[in-house]
Amino acid sequence: MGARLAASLVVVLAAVGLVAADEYDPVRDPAVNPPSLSAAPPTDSVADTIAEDEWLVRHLRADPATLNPILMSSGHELVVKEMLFDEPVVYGPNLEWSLNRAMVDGYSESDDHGTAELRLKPGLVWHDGAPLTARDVVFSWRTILDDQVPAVGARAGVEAIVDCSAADPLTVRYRFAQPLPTNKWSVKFPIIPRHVYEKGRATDPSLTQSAYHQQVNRHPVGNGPYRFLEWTPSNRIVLQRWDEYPGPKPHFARMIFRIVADNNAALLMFKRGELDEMSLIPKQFARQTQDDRFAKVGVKGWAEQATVYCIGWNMDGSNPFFTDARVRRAMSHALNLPLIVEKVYDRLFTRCRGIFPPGSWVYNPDVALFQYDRKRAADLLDAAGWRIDTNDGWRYKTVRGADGQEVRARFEFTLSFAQESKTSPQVAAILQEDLKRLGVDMKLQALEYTTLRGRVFTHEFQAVAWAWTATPEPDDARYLFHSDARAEGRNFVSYSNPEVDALFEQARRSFDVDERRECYQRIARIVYEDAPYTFMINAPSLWAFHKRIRGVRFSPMGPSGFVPGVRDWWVPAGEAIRHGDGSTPSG
Amino acid sequence: MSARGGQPVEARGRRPRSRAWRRFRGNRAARVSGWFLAGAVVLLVVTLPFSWAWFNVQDVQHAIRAAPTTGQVVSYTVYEQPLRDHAAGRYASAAGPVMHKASAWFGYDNVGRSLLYRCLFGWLVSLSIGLAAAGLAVTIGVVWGTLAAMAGGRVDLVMMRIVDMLFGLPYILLVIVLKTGLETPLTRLFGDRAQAANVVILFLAIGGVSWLTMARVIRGQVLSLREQPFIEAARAGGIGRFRILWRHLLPNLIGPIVVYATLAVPQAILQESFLSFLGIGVQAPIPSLGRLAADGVAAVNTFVGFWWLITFPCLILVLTLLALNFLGDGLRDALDPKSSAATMVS
Amino acid sequence: MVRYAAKRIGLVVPTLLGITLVTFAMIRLAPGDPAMAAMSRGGPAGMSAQTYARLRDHYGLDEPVWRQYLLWVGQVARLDFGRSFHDGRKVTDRIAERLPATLSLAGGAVFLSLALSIPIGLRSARRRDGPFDTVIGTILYALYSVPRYVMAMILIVIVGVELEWLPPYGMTSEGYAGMSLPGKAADLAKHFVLIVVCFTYPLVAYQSRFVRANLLEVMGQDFIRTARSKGLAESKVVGKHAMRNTLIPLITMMALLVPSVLGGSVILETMFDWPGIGQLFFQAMTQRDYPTVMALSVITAVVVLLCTLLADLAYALVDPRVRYD
Repeated sequence: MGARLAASLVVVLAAVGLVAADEYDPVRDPAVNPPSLSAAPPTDSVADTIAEDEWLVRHLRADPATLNPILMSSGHELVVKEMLFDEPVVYGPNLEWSLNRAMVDGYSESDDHGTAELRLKPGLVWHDGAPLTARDVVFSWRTILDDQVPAVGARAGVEAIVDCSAADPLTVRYRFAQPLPTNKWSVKFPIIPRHVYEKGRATDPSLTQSAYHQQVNRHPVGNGPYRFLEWTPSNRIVLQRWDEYPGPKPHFARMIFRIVADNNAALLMFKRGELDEMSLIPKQFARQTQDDRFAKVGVKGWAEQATVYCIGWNMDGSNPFFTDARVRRAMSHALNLPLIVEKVYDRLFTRCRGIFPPGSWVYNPDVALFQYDRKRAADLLDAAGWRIDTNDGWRYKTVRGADGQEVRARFEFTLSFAQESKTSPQVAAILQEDLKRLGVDMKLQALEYTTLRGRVFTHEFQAVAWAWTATPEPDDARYLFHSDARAEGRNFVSYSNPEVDALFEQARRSFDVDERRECYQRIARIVYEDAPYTFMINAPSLWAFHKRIRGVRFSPMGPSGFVPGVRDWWVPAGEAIRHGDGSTPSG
Repeated sequence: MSARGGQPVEARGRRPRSRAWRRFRGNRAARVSGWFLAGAVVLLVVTLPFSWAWFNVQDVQHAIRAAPTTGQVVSYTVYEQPLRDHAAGRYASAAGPVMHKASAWFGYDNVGRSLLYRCLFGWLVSLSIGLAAAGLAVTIGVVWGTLAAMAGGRVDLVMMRIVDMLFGLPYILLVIVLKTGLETPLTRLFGDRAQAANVVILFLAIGGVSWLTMARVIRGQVLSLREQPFIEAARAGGIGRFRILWRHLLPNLIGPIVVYATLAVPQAILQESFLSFLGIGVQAPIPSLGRLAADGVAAVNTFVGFWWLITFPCLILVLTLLALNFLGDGLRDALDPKSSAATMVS
Repeated sequence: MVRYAAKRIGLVVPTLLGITLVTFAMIRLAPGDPAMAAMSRGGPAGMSAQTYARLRDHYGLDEPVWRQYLLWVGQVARLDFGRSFHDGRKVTDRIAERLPATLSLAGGAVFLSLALSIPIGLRSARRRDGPFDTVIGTILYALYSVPRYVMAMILIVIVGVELEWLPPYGMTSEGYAGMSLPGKAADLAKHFVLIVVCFTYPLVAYQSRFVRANLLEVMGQDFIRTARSKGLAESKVVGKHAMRNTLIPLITMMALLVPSVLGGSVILETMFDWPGIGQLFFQAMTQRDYPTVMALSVITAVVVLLCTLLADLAYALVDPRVRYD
């Protein structure tokens, strides 16, 4: 009986399984990047071609912990923030530094670059009608740097400003710790309304604990193109277009963030037309969006992104292997990237070309990339003294142990990765196989993400599968590769190269763009050749959009997070499906 | 737990065991299950040399998520071969011995390993975990329950409150901590064999918490038996405590213990699969049925293209659990015919 | 009996304290801490040793652990579970808004499983080893052998996604707020089906076998024979006399199943994207949100202890021999 039941189960599963697609190639997928997706809004005065009262339903994978912009840190929180809060300085379409013309009349630095002045537009107000002045900016700066306020993301960079003051209601003066070209980025910080937050500070300096702060952090008063309407936890956040917004108004009357934790559930909703936009995981992009149901409602956006997937080699001396650059290079040659891109990432990912992405102004196109070449890897390992023992086929070397004694060490190490990752085990398996053929024994260790993070921060690993998203400012790479960042910063692999340190220092102080570019290009080359990390691939932006949506452009961090970004999205008048009259399917 | 004893048997009185055996043989489901499990064990032992050698051999070049086939084998190399090759100074990959074509029957997983060999080895791992964990649970449970019941009074009270306490702990948390807490010392103990350490931790984590029910059941049984006339008679006759325990109580406990032990095995296997699903079960690359099923669920979830990844491990898992449950049921009916739905495990 | 009950109830508090102490110690032993978890959400530039130290200080993690525990116990004694490390909201609020989802699920599962398993058990027992008993028994055992998460996946993929018969995820459809009252009820009901089935099927399998076995035992006893010999109809014998004697053990056993139901909710709620406390526990665990984990542990422990207590008391009522002294 049980067998019969199970047999019928097999039949059902097998029958459904016949739809399986084998190979995927995004270039041949008609749903990917159709011209309509990026069509610019009509600029002439034929105003009725854009559906201005349409609603936009966006996917959010979790409830934000807060809607106070200076306390935010997660990506999904920032997506909501940029709609609610406008900042004086924003990212442009290529993530370049740019002034937010809706708020700011001008920005100038003194000749010695020690101070700067920001002039706000007159007549700015918050969503509640209170005037927005330079004092709000000063208050925000002070709050971000307050040690009692748990600001994680916002604080970085702002520390470069040693003083911030309001010369008059429209003028903010900044004084910098050092005259640096990166100072202009430190001016890019979120601002919060002083009249709202000043009230609760006396009783709750952390801005998080009191009932009052809970209330205002969850019902924010902003100054962005949308104002807050309501938030139902685990369900939705609703924003309404703000009519008094001083800049160009976005094309959607209402913006609804649907909170759906499970991305399979979200995709199902998308196919039912209940979501207009969501980020896809590679498996969904390649295999779960090929059906008619998806084609009926959606198209896909695929763009390169500055997210680097890599393998870090710990060279702090705790293992005898990776302090030698030849060994790290050998590892880079042993990684079969063409196979990984094809088999693991469905050709959606591109191979990584070093620490700065190709779109960056400091990208160095002349760096010779490591090619998959086991013979070369073997030669490098031989040269580094790791020789094959003909008895068992593994590599050994005589090294000095911790107690000063010479010991014969076998080339055997552990690669740690996040157990939540679906692809890391596959990448690791591919590398493991190649290394085995080279006489190197790589063990695998899957760790819960929080645990892995802790181990990496404390340098307790030998090799780790890791990822980061490069920021547009090349100086930020200093935190990853400068030898000063070994103890306190994020130089987890303890990379140290005096030449790189010097170049970072030189580039950081120079205001000559060409000189800086040259420094960073040299850094890119040296770091790549030193291979503290094996740079694997750049993760792309993978998105699904309702097909009526136009005007989508991608920055190196995705389709939003810059100006204009979402503010340029629009829907042709004839294709609107959710009018703001209350009788919509997304009530 | 309503642990009412059946008709108590006087120690070595009538020969209840041969009767039990007859009853058991009369139970068709249990008989078939027994044969199935015996056959499985034979199969697993016979194929162990193959499954042990091949379960972690991956062919990332050709076989990533290749579908099942009964024809030509997809995978083609074995890695001892290339090692010897380049010991001789050659680095090009040489084709090694070819896997038996049976390796393609169940398809391949996401890193190109034969699912058949993984299922065979994982089956063995699951059964071992089940047996070991159940053994541990039964041992602790019986000792604890008997001691509590025999001691009575304050000792009993404290012992049973400890059981209550462990019962009330959030199980997932307990297992995570047991695992992470024990990982370092055990890895040190086992040295290179860190994988073996993981299995040990796991079975401690499962067995270590599933003895609670057993302890409660046994305590209830002993308490209830203690009041039976034949025990009271023995006590009145001046027979010592341990002699009563040994000669009169234990024989009456054999039934529930055996039944519970049999039913604890599938329970432990299920528990391990639950932990695997949470990512804290058997550690890669060692497979277990639960681990394979959990991996399959992750791969298949709303994308049915890779159906074999879930179908085969789940099928084996379900059939094994079914057989074990039938067997336990049959044993219960045979050993303790009148009562003891109560000894079913939760 | 009263003395026994009083004694057992009095012991709940120290047992609960023990549970919280062990849980507190355990969660601190688990690697990673909330500051690390918060940083792992942070942007690329936000993670430095200073940020980490400041966050640890903010969460009060630098105090000795025993002091943190005492502080926590003091707080809880005033029924204040503190604020979540994740979003700063009151833990009680976070749990309260999710409790109905889980309670309705557990309630539905218990009700449904009783409604199914009692008749099945009755019928199986009355015609022992008949065709119904054999077939149903086999099916139920087979079901009992399917891990819940596998069943959940099969239901989601086949019934929910491929066939689109029932909504596989979440608790309500889009536009729920705008529905009429019956529409709302129907929508909720549709979303309940799959997840409740996943909760219920192992319970039905287990309980119906339990009912069957218990009835068989009871029916062999003297008072049933007496009732029969008095000429009572068989249905009345079973329904009135035998069933009554099976109910208490059944309820006892149900109480002991509560921990497994709560444990199952962690996986099922995550898979079905169900906004209940199981999902919350899972999230809080990854975020190392100590106050939320502790509060959920206390709630679980209280429920489990109460159930154990009820089971023991009910059992002592039927079988006075197990009482202490």
